[in-house]
Amino acid sequence: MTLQIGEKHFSSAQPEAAARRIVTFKVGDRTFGIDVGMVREIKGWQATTPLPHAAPHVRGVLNLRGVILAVYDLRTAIGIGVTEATATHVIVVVDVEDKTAGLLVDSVSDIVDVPVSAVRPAPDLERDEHGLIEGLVLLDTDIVALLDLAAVIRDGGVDAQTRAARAAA
Amino acid sequence: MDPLAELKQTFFQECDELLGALEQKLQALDEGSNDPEDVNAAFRAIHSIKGGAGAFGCTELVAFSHVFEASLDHLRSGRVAIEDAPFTLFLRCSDAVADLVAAARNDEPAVERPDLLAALEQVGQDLQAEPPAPAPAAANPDAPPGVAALGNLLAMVEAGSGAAPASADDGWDDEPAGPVATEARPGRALRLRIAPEADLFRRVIEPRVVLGSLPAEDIVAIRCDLSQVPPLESLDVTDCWMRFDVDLHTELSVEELHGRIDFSLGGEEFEIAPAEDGPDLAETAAEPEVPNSVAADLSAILAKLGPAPEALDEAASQPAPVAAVPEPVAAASPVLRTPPRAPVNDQSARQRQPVSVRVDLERIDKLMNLVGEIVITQSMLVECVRSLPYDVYAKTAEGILTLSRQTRELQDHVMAVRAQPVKAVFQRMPRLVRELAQTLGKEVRLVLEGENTEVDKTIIEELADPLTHMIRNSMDHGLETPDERAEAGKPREGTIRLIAEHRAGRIVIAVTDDGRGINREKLLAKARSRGLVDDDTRLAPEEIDQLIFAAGLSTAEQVSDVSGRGVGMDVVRRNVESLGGRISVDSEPGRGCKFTLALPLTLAVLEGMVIRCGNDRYVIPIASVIETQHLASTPIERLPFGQEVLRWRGEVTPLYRLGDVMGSMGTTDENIVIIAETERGNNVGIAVDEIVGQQQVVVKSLEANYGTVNGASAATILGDGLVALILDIDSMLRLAASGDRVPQSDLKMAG
Repeated sequence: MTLQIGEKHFSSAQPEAAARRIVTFKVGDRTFGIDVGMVREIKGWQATTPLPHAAPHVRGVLNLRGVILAVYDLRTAIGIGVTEATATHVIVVVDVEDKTAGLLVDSVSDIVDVPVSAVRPAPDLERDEHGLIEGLVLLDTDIVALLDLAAVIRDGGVDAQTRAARAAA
Repeated sequence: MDPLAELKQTFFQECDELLGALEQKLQALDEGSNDPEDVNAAFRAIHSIKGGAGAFGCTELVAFSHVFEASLDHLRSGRVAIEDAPFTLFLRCSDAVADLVAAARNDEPAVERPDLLAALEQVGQDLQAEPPAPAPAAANPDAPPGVAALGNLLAMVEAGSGAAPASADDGWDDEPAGPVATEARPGRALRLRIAPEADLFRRVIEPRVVLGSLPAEDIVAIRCDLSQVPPLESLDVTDCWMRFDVDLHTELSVEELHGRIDFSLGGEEFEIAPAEDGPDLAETAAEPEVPNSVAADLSAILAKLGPAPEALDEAASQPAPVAAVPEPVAAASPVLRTPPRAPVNDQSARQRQPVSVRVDLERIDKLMNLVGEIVITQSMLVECVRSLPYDVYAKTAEGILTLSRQTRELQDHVMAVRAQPVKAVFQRMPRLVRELAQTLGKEVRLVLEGENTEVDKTIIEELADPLTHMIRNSMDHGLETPDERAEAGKPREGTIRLIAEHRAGRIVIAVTDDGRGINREKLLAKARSRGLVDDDTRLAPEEIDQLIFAAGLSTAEQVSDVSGRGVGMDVVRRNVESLGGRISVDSEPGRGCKFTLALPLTLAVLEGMVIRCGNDRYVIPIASVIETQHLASTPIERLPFGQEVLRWRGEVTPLYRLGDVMGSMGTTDENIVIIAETERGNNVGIAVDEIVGQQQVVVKSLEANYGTVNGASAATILGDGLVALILDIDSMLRLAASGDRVPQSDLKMAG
């Protein structure tokens, strides 16, 4: 299942002045974003094969047209629990460094053009000890947290367990 | 790629093969072979390299190989006895040639080896005061054998005398110059008839080499009979249709002559008889036997083969470039050169010898991938068909059965195309050992076994680095210096064995040395000082040995060029594991050390047993399965530490529950126990819920997009499109042994 996403231009600035085109998606009530160039495709949830003793945010591996890739649960990575995946959940297939990976999110919202100047550095979040958030963008209604995908995939789960415990507490 | 560059590429590929052959033959001779055919083969190899190098203007390579060839020729001609020949020198020279080839390939400046050249020129000098080999052919035009030979012969024909033209010594062979007056010399007249088979050129033999093996001063006349040459339309330029009559006035006996020629020609290709007709000689000397028209035809063919590319035309001082010469006969001057591998279009030529095709590996890989996809699609089909109504099912199933048989056959054949003997890698090791032995001042004998063990091409390429590292390690750390060895009561010469064999569906390569073994105290002390092992941790001797694979450890006191930076074995382990392989070490202090490398035979496909445990399915490579039985009928005991064991064929075999080890989802209900074999040859029982079936599975890398998964070597896609892990028994056992420890700490322990 491939989702069609409507395009909307960032209203308050000229897109042609060094802009970043960002795909935004939701996990719970939070909005996250990544550069559109990193997104290879978006597909519906599909059962994964779990990996033994993998980090908690690694949901397992799936077959994408003959290529095997790992799916990471963004909800677990940011420490707010585990996604109860259903057919309406979405896997964002991304290219990170030299690997292809899947990011399990609730839904994809939009594609927006954001001037580079509108990206603010991430506040020094004590809880974001792995630097998963690269920067913030203020949209009309939302605050979009730009993800550092490499960090999500590399470190997201190392002590996501502790983070999950903290979130639960 | 432009055609010239392409040809050049082909030439370098050929060089690799030729260098391999050269080294192998020299090695055989060095080890005591007396077979003149080995000498010949070595000579031919270097000669072909020289020929091609000339065509591509690799002057340093030509110069060196020319001298090398000349000294090998002393052996060939018997001027130097095989037993007395300095093969160690020759081997070093073959290394030097390999370096020159590499330099030429990468367009790097070549390293000159005057020392080797001087030594080479000494060969044969001690025995007779022969003038040194002709000046290196560096500046001379050269051509691959075959076509060049044709050109040369043509020159002979044109020279009119029918004899090898003295002036035509274009330096591309150290062939004796033209005939010498024969009057008043002892000996008798003999006639040699040479009627080579049509595939002469393809055997990389040239008539001039044959003729060159005759004593130059004994040759009275050479006539070339071109009457057999077919009309141009049907002529394949790689066929040899020339016949030669050579008049000799010699003291050599028929047998001696025979011995000189049967180096290069088959027994039925020549005959030697006393000359009866004297006048013939004078006649032919007066007029060329070949009508000019034939010569003209031949020249036209040569011209048609394509003008020599200008870039190669280093003989610019020669009258005119070939292509511009209007008159065909002139085009046949001996400077004519053509790129190697003149196109062969003649069907008949193909049938006469086993034909091989050079194929880009990428194409085979694509083919292989496609076959892999077919295998998956086919297993998908099998699942679909199950749900069909019975009458349709029966027919379809039959078709699918045939399809699966054919798919498997197809796959086997594609695999066979990719399979290569490990020789391709092993061959590089003698040189490494020679060079290292010299650098390190050690005496080493390398023994190779199982070179013909076949492995998939992908594995072959991946083998070179680990093997190089392992051998370096053995030579640098393992083997002692000759003096130390003598003190320890061992022979001064150390032995390294490199053995390849198939075992449990893997290729197992062992590097064994008879050196001092691993210094455990030192290794442990180092590991402790680096914080890799806690001070209060007690390790078994074998566990200490495994520390050699830890990152940043090296016990060499001096950091040398060879090893000692402590990256070697660590890198080897990582590389090997990323291929789904494993490396282990067994050491016996004072006696030696053995590194064992186990890799899958192919990275592409394997025969697997699909099993289920809880909600998850896994694949066990059939190669590691010995047998399966019902768990209920198997007596299980529990050891004090909680380890379960079962009795199997009178042996106590540890039992692991797959669901527990791999953390399978869902509830497990073990019914079946699979007896599997580990790489070390031990047996182990694995309890699973159900055996789903047996099928070929396409191996898909987990590392490509994820990373190493403990317990699994790779993954595959089953008929329903879902992914299943391919279990790796040894890695699974390690996972089980590490218990609840986080995988990371397991890694740290192992390396």
